[in-house]
Amino acid sequence: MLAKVKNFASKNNYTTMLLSLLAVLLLFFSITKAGTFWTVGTWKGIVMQFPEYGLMTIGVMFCFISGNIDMSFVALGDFATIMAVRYMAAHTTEGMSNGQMVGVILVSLLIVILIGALGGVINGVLIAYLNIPPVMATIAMQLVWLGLSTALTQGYAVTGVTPLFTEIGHTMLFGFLPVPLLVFIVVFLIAAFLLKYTTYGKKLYMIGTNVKAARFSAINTRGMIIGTFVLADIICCFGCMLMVSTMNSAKADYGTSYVMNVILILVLAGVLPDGGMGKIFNVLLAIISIQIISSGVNMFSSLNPYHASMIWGGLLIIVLILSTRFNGSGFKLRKRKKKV
Amino acid sequence: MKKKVLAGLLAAAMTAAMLMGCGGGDDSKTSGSGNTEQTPSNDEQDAAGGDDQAQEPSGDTPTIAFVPKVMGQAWWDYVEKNVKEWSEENGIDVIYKGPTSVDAADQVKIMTDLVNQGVDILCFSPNDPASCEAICKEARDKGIIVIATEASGMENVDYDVEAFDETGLGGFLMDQLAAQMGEEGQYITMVGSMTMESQNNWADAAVARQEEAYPNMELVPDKRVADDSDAEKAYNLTKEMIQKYPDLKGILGTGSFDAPGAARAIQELGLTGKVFAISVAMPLEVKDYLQDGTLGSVALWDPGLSAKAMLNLGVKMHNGEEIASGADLGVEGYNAVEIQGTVVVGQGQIAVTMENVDNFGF
Repeated sequence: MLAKVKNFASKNNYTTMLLSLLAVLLLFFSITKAGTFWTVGTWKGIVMQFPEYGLMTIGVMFCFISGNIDMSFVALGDFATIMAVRYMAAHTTEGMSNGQMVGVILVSLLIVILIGALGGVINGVLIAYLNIPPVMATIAMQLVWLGLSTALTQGYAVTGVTPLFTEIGHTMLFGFLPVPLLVFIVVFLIAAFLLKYTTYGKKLYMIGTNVKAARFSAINTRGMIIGTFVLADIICCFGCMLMVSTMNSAKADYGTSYVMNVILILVLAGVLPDGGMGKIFNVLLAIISIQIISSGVNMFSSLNPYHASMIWGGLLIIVLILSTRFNGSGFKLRKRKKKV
Repeated sequence: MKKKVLAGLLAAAMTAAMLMGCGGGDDSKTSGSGNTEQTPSNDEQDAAGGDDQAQEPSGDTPTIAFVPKVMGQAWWDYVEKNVKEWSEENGIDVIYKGPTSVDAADQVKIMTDLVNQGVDILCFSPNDPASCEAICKEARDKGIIVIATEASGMENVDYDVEAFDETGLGGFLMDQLAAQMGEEGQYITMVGSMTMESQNNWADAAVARQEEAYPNMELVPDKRVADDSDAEKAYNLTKEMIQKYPDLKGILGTGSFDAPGAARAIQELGLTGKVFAISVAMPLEVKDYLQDGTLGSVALWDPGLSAKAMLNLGVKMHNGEEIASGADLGVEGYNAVEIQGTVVVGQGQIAVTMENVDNFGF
């Protein structure tokens, strides 16, 4: 038994580390806040909150694995949701039947998908065909989308979300499963399937490991990168759509802090923008850990969100130090050493 | 292989240490700041003391949370100080927690956590009122008392506490200016832009107040100028108007750029004591002008008192007291509030002068 654990741990450094982290967090909050931590309310808060940026994390994960990065996803998502909510506001009338509202919601989801895809294509073309470094290209696009949204809305929140949409966002299925969580689970399973059981997933890791080698192996790397950004940005836009249901409105700068959160979670999970590495299960563990820290910190009246970001930053440094020790899935520095 | 297991454990241990360190460090910080922070000379505090004691809840102490727009900004640091003061006076803990950047999504997340972890009273100032409706509805459905400020128009709140209404502030600006002008002479009104609804309503109310109370004052034919919310433009406009109307004695500004701009013009033209200006303004921005006498006073509301009024209102509701027009929220400026629907209007406008300009820190 112990040998098995050891074997597992040695093969899954990040998983071991994240599981230990999760265990420590649970233990810590159980001891310090026994009365508050293990209540339905606290956990409802936790599972209601992470699907928003959890979806974005899954989206950006695809970019990271392919050796790219996306900084534009929140701004793009905000733009897409602003357009969707504008459509909703224009087509929702008092006394509409639920069927009609479902129609409006479906069209607005289509709008979000189309704009997300458009954003993905632009990112992909800038990077794969025009060879602009991914960070620069997507920061530029972030500014473009932010500017567009602000110009369109004058910086005001866009209201008029179809009531049914907000209602669905706050519904508990079977009394315990919030709809946003269900959406997250479904997207997570699809993403896991794509990565593990399809040739797309295998090719993605290959591109991330060595894009030249992948191209010489007859992989359409440019098409793959564009496709990956389309997929990633559509998922991110869905994340922003969940945000619309929480906030009951859309705005040019909702969720801007998610950009850094998402990158932090991915690095914590061992998905580095160098590409070619990372497991989606670890991403899930990292998302949950980060949310537990932030909700946990909110249980202490004397702690501020500053402290949560301090803990996050500290964790990141620990992970980066440790990752140089993890051979196999660590930094390239270590790999090079091995070759010598 | 052992190394890796060890590494994992090490990471876990370090996290634990960090969490502990964090918790401990913060406590000492809180107690430390309580001692070192200077308390502003607050007469209104003593005045309110009696009322506060009357509100001491009997046995049933509510859990209160106060969510500011952002943490670590002078305005909200001042509010935090006042909330802590209130907390000590009343013996009721208040969880003061807000986003670290002005991000509506972060603010809603904090409110979500607080609502789900269970509080009795939720006070907040929304970055974006629309974004808070859903969580406020959830809170109210759970029986939480929800009290907002600077959020008029929000549906899912028990009350929205506002320091003043348009008539109140307009009249106050006029009274202050009239006192400095000796209640006679020509004046003009200034707004950020002709389309800013609230500022124009303040100006209208000020003019109405003059017509009613100060017959020897006269509005010049230009009536109202707009400075595009730009102190530079306010400066130029003031010079222009003084040239056009040599007898101009007063500039009744509204927005926070009006008085600073006008004061610079008055100072440069050497008309200090002959031409007077006023508007809503941030104390530190006009401190120099208050000190050299170019400005007699500017208008503002005290966000600390407003926060205390919100807390007192919450406790009153928690104790099942009826809230109606004329209710006393136990803080100066909120001793006889007016209830307009879900909006609670005080007379919380204050004059910032030489004496109190340093009290706020913003």
